[in-house]
Amino acid sequence: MDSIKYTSVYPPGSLLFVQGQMPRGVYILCTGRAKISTCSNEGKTLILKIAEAGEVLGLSATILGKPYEVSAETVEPTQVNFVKREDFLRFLNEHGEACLHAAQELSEKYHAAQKEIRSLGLSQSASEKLARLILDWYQNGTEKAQRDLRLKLFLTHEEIAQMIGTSRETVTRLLSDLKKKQIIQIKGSTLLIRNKTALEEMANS
Amino acid sequence: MQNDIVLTEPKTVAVPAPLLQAFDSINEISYVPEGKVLFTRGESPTGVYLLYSGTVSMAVSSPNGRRLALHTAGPGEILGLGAAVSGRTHEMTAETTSSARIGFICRSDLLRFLQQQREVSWSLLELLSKDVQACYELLRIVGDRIPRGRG
Repeated sequence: MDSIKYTSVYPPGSLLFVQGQMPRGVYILCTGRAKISTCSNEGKTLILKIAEAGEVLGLSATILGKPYEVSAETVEPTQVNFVKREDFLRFLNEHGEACLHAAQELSEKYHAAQKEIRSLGLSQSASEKLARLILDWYQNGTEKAQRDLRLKLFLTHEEIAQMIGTSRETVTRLLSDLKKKQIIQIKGSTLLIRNKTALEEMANS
Repeated sequence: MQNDIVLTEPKTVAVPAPLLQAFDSINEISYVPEGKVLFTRGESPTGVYLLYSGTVSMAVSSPNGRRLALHTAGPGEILGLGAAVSGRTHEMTAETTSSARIGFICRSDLLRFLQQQREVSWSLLELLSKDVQACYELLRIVGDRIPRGRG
């Protein structure tokens, strides 16, 4: 893969690719994070996830040769390896193991998208979805680092709203309610979970 | 079911004929009655199901009993592929909505087969890519249906 990749570093806010664009290739996140979003016919933006280092972006579109279904935008300084579509397809064709890894990666994306459908479509309220999102951040963090109830907030209220399918005003109000009830505490860009049990009850209500 | 929400039908993701033929050697076919649950959300994947005839409802559900029917799978579709490849638990529940003729390939056979048959791996990648894109399409439909600003 080293011979066919192009490494670049992008500042926050850089668009790697845009929904509807024909696929140029795949983007492998080496460091940093990227916001993955999709826009509906009615113009609603949904943030599907925050992709992290190690993830391959633009995979399904590149394999199928169809337009990207999502957009990817960096949210912090991010190092990316880009592999052109024709080089990537040739690489998959020549390396059976790579093909299986790509299948694994696609299956993970499929799983994540189904989970998102379930969360968006079946949650009764925005508070339930917000509680689940905070717990997801906590769970994802603990897989990689030590168990810590302190989370780094790198999304705006507007972006959190786009993750849970609600309005910015609702997110601001709900976060304020959680702070008043001492379930969470926010200092600068750090969110501290003070009452995880209460948060879990909200997420399962 | 009263809590059912049914979405418009997304595109069917049919298995390419060469892939179905390739699976013939490791496939166990049986006849299944209506109302049979093939797998449920949270279950570990045991394999994949190939639908030769009949229909299967694919739905997600919540602990409070709400159910979101996402898709009715028809002949030519393969079910449970993403979970079988990743090894993650199923996110959906699959239940036959008519009597059906269904093939089953256990997960270990599937993975072994994929490692040995390179040309099959490529078809599988295309199939999974279509599954992922169909999911994004569903997400946009779901996103459009949620009223914004609910507490």
